[in-house]
Amino acid sequence: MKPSPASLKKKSPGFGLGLRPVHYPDFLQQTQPVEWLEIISENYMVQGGLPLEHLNKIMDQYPLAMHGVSLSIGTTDGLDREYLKQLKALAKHVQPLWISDHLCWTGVQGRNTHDLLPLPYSEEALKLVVQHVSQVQEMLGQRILLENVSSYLDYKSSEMSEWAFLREVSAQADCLLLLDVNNIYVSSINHGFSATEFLDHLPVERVQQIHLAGHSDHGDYIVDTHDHPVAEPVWDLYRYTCERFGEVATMIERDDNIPELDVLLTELGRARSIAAEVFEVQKVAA
Amino acid sequence: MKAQTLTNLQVAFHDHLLNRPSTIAEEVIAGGRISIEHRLHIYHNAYRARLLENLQDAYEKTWAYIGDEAFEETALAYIEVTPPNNRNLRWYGATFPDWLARQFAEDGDIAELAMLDWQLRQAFDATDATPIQADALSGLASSDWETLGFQLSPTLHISPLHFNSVGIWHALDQEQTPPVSDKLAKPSWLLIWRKGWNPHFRTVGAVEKEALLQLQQGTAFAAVCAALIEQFSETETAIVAAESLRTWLNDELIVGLTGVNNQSVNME
Repeated sequence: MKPSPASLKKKSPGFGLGLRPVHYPDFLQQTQPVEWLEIISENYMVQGGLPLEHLNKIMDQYPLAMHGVSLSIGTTDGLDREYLKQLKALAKHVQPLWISDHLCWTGVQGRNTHDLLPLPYSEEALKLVVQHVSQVQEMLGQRILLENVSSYLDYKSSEMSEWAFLREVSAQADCLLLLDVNNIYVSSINHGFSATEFLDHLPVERVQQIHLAGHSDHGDYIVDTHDHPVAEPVWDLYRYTCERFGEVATMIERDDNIPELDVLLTELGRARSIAAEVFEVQKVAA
Repeated sequence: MKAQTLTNLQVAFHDHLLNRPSTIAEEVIAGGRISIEHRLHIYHNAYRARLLENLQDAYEKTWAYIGDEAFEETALAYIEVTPPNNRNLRWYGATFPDWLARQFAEDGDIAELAMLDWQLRQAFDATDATPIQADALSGLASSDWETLGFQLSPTLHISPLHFNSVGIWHALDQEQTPPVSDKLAKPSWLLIWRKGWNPHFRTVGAVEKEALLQLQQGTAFAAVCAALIEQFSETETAIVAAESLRTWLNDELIVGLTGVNNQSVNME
């Protein structure tokens, strides 16, 4: 029996940050004002040592979400069983809030590019991704979240919009979504679509998590570099996202040029304020 | 749509990233503010930038030693011929020391320093094991010592050393000018392992290297000591054996006892 839409996703744990090694001391020395943290799964797919020691201490204090970069859900190579076994073992250890990766492919013919490469939004790709997501969910015993990636090109073989593809994948594979609001903005500029129209077409009941991040603006195009503070247009889009999707677990994702933790906590504070304002207005209106 | 279209597209895209002849440009829609070539170049560039950054991180001292320009040039050439084949970026660059040995055949110190960089990284997140404490040995019966063997740390790596790479490493670590590369007068070996949570290394001579290799292969400690008598007097052998054992215990190199009452003892 399929669960009702209301029970598809977990209640939002609130606001969090992506855990980065440079901030281990901050999290180990004192309790920080975040409700949860997101770890990069691959960073802990190692045999032992300090990364796992830190993980063990931090997971005692904060709920963790697992976020991967190597699932390569859209590769025509098929799923990597060894990678999935390691992912499952880590999940068994961490007992995460949820497990996510990206709606993309990262390699083919046994090679990996370590980049999140775009898929054509075709029926063929849809069928393949749905099949892979179903296999992954069966193996992990839970729904996974797929994140929209930034992209810099469109394929002639695409037969639908990115949002239609995301919607179809999540419905047909019965998975959840991780919305990267920055990626939506970046792609909207690079491809010339409406970011709000993108959001309007996504299923509210399947959006479990939100990423906020920075980018590099090159004038004619934007690159999703995750090395800057969240940009103003992305904050505006986050406000719109809160209005449409309600309370969704939100975090700042910074991967490069990583500042002091306080800087990220201040940025997260802005996300909290925007969400609070939106929900206050909605409460008054209701 | 033809079957296998997606495979063809992915192979063509991948060929483009690897600088091979590719038809990917024909698959991409033209229009917008930047050209198809520019759009594809963003991915082409990101692929190299990410792998280069990973090599710079993994081979930090080697990078500092040969400088930005030489490192980038040789790393990018390595990336061209070495597409990643592991899902985890952590493992990319394992063969970079071999590459450097070929590219800088006259300067073996570079590959040796790279080996040290890589093995320190290996030791950092290798399998955990609880070290044996000295008092675990004090309770052994004298008959146990005849068959006693040691399980050595799973993080331990033993590598031959031909240059003054250790001195170069320490100078770079302290951000000082490294000494001029120099070939060692006598053969040495480097032990690289993790003590506590931190990778360590130290130079050893032939005697200690041979003893550790024997122990790693499961030879009993008494048999390893017996071999020493061929090189030392009985008194010297007793001193060398006792000092070596004390050092290994202090270094947390011993993580289990074997050959004691026919049982493997791990003091976890």
